[in-house]
Amino acid sequence: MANRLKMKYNGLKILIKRVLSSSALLLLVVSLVFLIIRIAPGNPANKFLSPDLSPKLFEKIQERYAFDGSLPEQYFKFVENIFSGNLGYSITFKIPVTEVIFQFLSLTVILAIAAFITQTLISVILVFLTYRNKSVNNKIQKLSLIIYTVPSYVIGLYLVIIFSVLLGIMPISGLPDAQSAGILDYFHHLMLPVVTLSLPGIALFFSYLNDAVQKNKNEGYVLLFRSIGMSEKKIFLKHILPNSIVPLLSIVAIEVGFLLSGSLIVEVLYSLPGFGKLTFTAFMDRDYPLIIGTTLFTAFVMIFSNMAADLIKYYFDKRFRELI
Amino acid sequence: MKIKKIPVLLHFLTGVFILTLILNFWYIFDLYSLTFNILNTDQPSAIFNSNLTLTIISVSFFLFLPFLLLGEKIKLFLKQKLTIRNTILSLILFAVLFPGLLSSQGANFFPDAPGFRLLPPASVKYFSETTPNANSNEEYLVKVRDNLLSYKSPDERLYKENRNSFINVNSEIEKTFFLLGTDFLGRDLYSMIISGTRVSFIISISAAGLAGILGIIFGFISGYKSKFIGRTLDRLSDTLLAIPGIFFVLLLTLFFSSDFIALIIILGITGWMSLFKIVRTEVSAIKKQNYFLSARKMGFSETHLIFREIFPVIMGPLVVNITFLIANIILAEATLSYLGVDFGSGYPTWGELIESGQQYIRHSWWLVVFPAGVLSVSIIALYNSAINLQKKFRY
Repeated sequence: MANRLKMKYNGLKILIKRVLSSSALLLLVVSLVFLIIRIAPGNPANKFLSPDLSPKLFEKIQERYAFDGSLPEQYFKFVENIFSGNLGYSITFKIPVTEVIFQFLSLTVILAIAAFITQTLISVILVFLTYRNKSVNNKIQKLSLIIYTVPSYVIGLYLVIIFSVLLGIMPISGLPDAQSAGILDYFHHLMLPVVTLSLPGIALFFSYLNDAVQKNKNEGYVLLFRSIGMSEKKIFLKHILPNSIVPLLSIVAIEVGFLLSGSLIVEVLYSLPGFGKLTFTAFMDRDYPLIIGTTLFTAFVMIFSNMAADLIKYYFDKRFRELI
Repeated sequence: MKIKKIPVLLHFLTGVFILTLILNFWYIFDLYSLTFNILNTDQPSAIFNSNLTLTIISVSFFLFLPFLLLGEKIKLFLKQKLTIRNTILSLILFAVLFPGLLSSQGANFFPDAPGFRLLPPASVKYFSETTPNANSNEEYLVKVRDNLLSYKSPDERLYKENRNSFINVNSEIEKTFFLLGTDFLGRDLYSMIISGTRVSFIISISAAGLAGILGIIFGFISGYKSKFIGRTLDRLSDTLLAIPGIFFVLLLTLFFSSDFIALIIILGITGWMSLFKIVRTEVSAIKKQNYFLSARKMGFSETHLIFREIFPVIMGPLVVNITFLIANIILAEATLSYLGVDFGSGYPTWGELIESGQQYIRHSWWLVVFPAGVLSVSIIALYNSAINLQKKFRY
């Protein structure tokens, strides 16, 4: 009883510790972004406005971000603005930055979720089909290493050449018309991007899962179930898979970063209006409010997913508990 | 995977050396006579021709290469087996050192003629540099030119009949062979890939050098000297490793102007973290070992301890990681130039080639397939050699 209570207390302590350090990191990122605006060449007030706006608005911005004040004053104003969700107006879109981000986010979320589901399913199926056949398994492992090293846009372009140019069954890029298209059209257009986004992930998941399964497949309990006459499918799904899923949990954070940077490239490649493309165009157009917004959002997602991954690991892996 | 008949890398290198010398004999001869002429005239050439200079340097290096190869350590290195990986890497080496010999056309050469645009791979074209005479007929000129460009083998009779109406710079009809096809301006894709190799590798090797210096210095400071700095740098590198690479690079582009050296600095700054971690852990492990402690007790100087006791031990991991780093930086550079972040190197890099080829993907697949293939094959070869080195050093 006492032991359990201690463990519960320990868990709470770790949760608090992790949340605190994550928020400290977030503050660090905010300060870094502040530094970027200060260091990058040009008057900071100009970076929040397009030059053809009235001087009245210029003064308003100057006042809001305290650009005429001292440096610490500016910093505190900046932090205050950001934590009250006040990120300013995008120069290119001329609407609030938060609105722009949430407009563009939906497509990326759909892409990421679809890619995550595909890669999990396919890697599990691949491992199930090949884990008892050593030669095929080794070949797939080598192939997955190659797919992991080749940049995703090369894979995407090859897919476009095969499926869109030579076979002509897939659209080359873009989304269907918003008015006339049904769900099936969207599905048709997003198929290649999802495949491109999930292929490196399949390679990653496959190698991690395969290592764990190879370790577990000759354990005593597997041999016991096999000798009883349990079906292979049941043995794999009910006994081997749950025991080897823990290493996959440790790469959840890497996977989120993977999907974020992958979606940037995939969205540029297939010219899809998503968050990655938004980030990229913001950087190319030097749209500073949007750059700040997208950078902070990315940092927030990364920090949050790192924290979540650590906590998940804590709850699933007992060895990890003792380490902390 | 292994071709067992030729056991030594040296044979392959000399083979390529002799083959390119034979194929490009007249080219080299021309270059030398050209250099000789430039050196003989009293007035130096008004325009500094960087392309020509680079080629001359590479040719002279090429001719002195046999003397370089006599060194013992290089000989040992060259006694490796000729695997596919080694073949690719040595071809890349040739492309980086002597682009002028592998492709006889410069990267920016293009015949300004409509017949040369978007040619498929392995196509042959005939052309002749002609300038119209004062009394020549314009229509005739166009006719002859079209005839030359549109037929697979040129109509020599028509050409000879109308010869009087031109002042011929080259009186012969030249045959041009486009191995990998041409792009939308009629430039030879093969030559562009060769010169792109040079640009990509120069950028990535210098960026990897910068990252290596940063990583080694930071690693030494934090592993050897100060614990506080070590912990801070460790936290910093953890944070930087958590950011997806492409976002980090894009953020850094805000600080720098867009030129060649800025790109090297950006890629160097984004790459030092993994090397730092390795150096740090290795150094702090060595610090506790007996041989190091006794060397310190014997009163050797700090420089001796660092360069004679620590460096040789961590050399293996360092070499492996720098190889990985070079591959990663080539990838990052190609990704950046694919996305269209322009750093104005003046030459088309691999990423730029892929990006510009993507606009013509409907009709001319070769503009994407070949640069992308070269990029991925060379990255796989680099990764493979890094893994091989890792096995060799057994760590």
